[in-house]
Amino acid sequence: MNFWEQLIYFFSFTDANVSNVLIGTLLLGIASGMVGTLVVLSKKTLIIDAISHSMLPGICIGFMLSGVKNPVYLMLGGMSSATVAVYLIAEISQRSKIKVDAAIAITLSILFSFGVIMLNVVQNSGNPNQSGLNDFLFGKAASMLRKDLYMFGGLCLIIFICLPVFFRHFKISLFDPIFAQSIGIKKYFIQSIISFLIIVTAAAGVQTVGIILISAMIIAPASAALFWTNNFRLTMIYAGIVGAGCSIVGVFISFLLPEMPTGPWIVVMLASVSILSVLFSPSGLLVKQIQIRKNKKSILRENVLKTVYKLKEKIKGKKKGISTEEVSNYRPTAIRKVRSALKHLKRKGLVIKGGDYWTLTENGVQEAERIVRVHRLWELYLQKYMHLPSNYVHNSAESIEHIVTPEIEQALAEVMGKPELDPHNQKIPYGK
Amino acid sequence: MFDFWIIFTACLVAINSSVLGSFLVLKKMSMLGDALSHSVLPGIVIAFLITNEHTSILTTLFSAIIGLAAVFTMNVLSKKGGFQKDAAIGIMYTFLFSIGIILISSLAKNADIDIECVLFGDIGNVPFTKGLYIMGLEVPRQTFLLSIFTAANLIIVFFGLKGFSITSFDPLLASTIGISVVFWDYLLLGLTSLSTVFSFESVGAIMVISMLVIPAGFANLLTKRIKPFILIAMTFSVICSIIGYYLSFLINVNIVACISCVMGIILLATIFRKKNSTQSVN
Amino acid sequence: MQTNSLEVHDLTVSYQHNPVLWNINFNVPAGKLTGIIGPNGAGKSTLLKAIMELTPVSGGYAKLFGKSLEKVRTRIAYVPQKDAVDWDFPATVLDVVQMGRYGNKSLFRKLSKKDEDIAVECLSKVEMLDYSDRHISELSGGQKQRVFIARALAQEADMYFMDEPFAGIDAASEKQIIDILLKMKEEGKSIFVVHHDLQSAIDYFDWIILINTRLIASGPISTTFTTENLKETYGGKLTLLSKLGQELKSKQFPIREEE
Repeated sequence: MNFWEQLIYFFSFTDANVSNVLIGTLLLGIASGMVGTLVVLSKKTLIIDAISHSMLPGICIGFMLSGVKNPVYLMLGGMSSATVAVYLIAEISQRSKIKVDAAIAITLSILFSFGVIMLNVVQNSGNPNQSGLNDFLFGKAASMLRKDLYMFGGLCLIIFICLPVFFRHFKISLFDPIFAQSIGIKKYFIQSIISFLIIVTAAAGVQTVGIILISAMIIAPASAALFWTNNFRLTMIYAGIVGAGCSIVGVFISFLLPEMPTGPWIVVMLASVSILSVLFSPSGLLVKQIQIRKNKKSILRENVLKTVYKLKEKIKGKKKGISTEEVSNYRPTAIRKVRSALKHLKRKGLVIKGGDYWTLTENGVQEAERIVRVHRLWELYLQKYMHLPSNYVHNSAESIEHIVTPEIEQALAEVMGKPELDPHNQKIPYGK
Repeated sequence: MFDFWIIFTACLVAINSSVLGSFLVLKKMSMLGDALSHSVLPGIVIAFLITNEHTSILTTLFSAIIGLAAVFTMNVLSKKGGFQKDAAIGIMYTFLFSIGIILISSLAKNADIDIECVLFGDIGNVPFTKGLYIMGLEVPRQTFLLSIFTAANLIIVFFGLKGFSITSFDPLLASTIGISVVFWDYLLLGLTSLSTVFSFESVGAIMVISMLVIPAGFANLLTKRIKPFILIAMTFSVICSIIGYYLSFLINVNIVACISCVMGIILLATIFRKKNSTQSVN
Repeated sequence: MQTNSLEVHDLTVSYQHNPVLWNINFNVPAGKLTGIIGPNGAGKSTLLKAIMELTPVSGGYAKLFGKSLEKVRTRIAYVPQKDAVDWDFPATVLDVVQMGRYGNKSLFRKLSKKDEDIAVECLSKVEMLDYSDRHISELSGGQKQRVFIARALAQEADMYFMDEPFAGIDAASEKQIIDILLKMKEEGKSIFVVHHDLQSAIDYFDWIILINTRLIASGPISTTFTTENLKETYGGKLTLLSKLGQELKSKQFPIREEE
């Protein structure tokens, strides 16, 4: 089958195995993305690593006690050892000088090493059922059977019930912990629920992504989602979508290349989405760069307008207008930039060109006076209210004049009682 | 006799990791150390695929630099990009680790890499690796390189003790005196990165963390000054390595995992015993 | 002719383009014990950090003894807030004070006998010599602060910046520390203290700087510590500045034009 045929086959639900995997992965992606929102917002991302790695000994012990690879026993075992991890971390950091981050690393390494030993013991025992226990390290979604899916579904169900039930609790505790305490929500209670949900999610995720990589599965979707929204509910929804999407793509790739474990591919997808969010989201770096460029352009244009205004004041009708060269020489600026600024100003109807000379339109005069007015008001404010000596006020005003909105301008004028002169005894033009 | 080389290698890894790990723990960079140990994997795999040799100066430097680049990227992502710092660490290192695993699964079929080896190392194989002749003695190549690194590492830490200490205890004061906290942090991380790469063949990519943090945790319980701290961490890790080695033969399990568990049990026993006595740290 | 110890020129510090300190400008003559006073969140710690170049500055600059910080570093001592430091770090009281003798150039050398003597001397000046071997986690708030002061003294600086040295310490320690500061002042040192308590401010300082995101006043305590100034410091309206700050932040606007 070529690629497109495989694609259709994968999503067509004709193959029971494939559809098991697809459904399972979808559920897991949504669940871990949503639980991840809680984790990222409560800044407890480090603990996930410890929880997931510490599942290994429990899984092995579950296998040893039951003798078969029954997912229920394995998961119960895993969740128990993960709970031990949570307990250990708290105890270590409370009983000794060891700080929380070191306690997490210590617990992680001890329990994981213990798990490796258990794994060796199982391997040495020669029990034929034990093959594939290794898959828990990196995930092997392809080997998900119907019975795995049931247990899996059960775990996801727990998550999908807990999330809406405690939604308001989470929202308040994460955004306003003091208020939350005042209305009786115990911080310890919320933390316990979040830890519980992490353990359940890790138990479910161990199948598709594996122990070592599950932390990315939980952290990445929400981290990426936070670049797109500030709303708690939307963050959860976006996180669920990202989690589901990346999981499906990862599993599909694993389906195309059966000798590969699924976990790494899902993580690669998740990391890509994260990087793309950092770069291209509305609060991302690209948008910031564009904004900075916009600022530079608009600052330049307003400065050019001011320059034309000032030069015109100087010549007082002796000449027809100002040339582009004069503008670019007044404040040393590349003539190319000045030209494009002037063109823009012309489009906005603030300047007109007569022959080789530029003059201001009436609107242009008003706008230029507005900028000068704001500049001088701010200078006065700095001098009077911020006690800045008058030889310093100009630099700050040069920048601030471009950002003062009409609302702020009015507040400035009011606060100072509509003053007439600036700190250098120049008139403040009120125009209109 | 071949026992000796394995134990000796284990001890070298233990010494390096415990010394560097002491400062990682004190600077609250424990998980960063964990992240580093995972991040060097793709570099090691790529270097191995290109040179087809297990360890050489080139592969080591290459992998270590990738590790450092990963840390640098994590910093940039969180400072400039607005990513939450811990989340950046978690995603970055799992990403790099995944790349390593993908490379191994897909490309290394013909080459001599096996996932279990990568994860847990194969310290038992050390005596059987190619050897070098030093002063009439046959020394496994890996061990030889590791010894040189250990010596260099200890010298740097010895001379840099004041720098590491002050930037860990009071980075603000250090900056005001003119000491570059960034320099000392990256020096520590660079050494950790190199140490991880050098130890890779013996202990693999995942177990390094135990050697880094558990000895430091133990020292933290027992002492109040930095020099004893480091000495205790080193001694503890060496003794546990020897005990763990012999124990692993009794139970027939992975040597490194056994060493980690021995360290862990002693640490936990020490912590939980303390609560019962009312004596404070001496 | 009296030179200025500290000159701050039109200093603006922003966080994500929103200024937390606006156009701070003041000069302080040498040899004064100066209190920096203002409500919580006023930017007092930020001011100290900006002067010490521990935090980036978006506009303006500071001069210490008429020069840039880099040129006079060895003459300046900075005492951070107590909780900026991990008191569980494996170090004794003496270890910490000896850190005051680390210079950038001597980091790789052993401390000399002279360094060790100076550390011991400074410890006795703060009456903590008996605690030399004590682990720093075993100290009370006041004792921790005294250790910090000893460390600063060990730096043998001419200008000292202290961030909330009197926060969370017992009255006896506070009295002791202020006595030390007064002695230092008599020796001609210039000392700047971020302080939170108005009552004691009148007694302790001879120069006062009132800050609430912008400078309210700077001058000798007798003329500057007025009811009107205090009212403006603690009650002043900041709506205009916060609106402006919000605009700056949302447009990622630069505080100073480049070029």
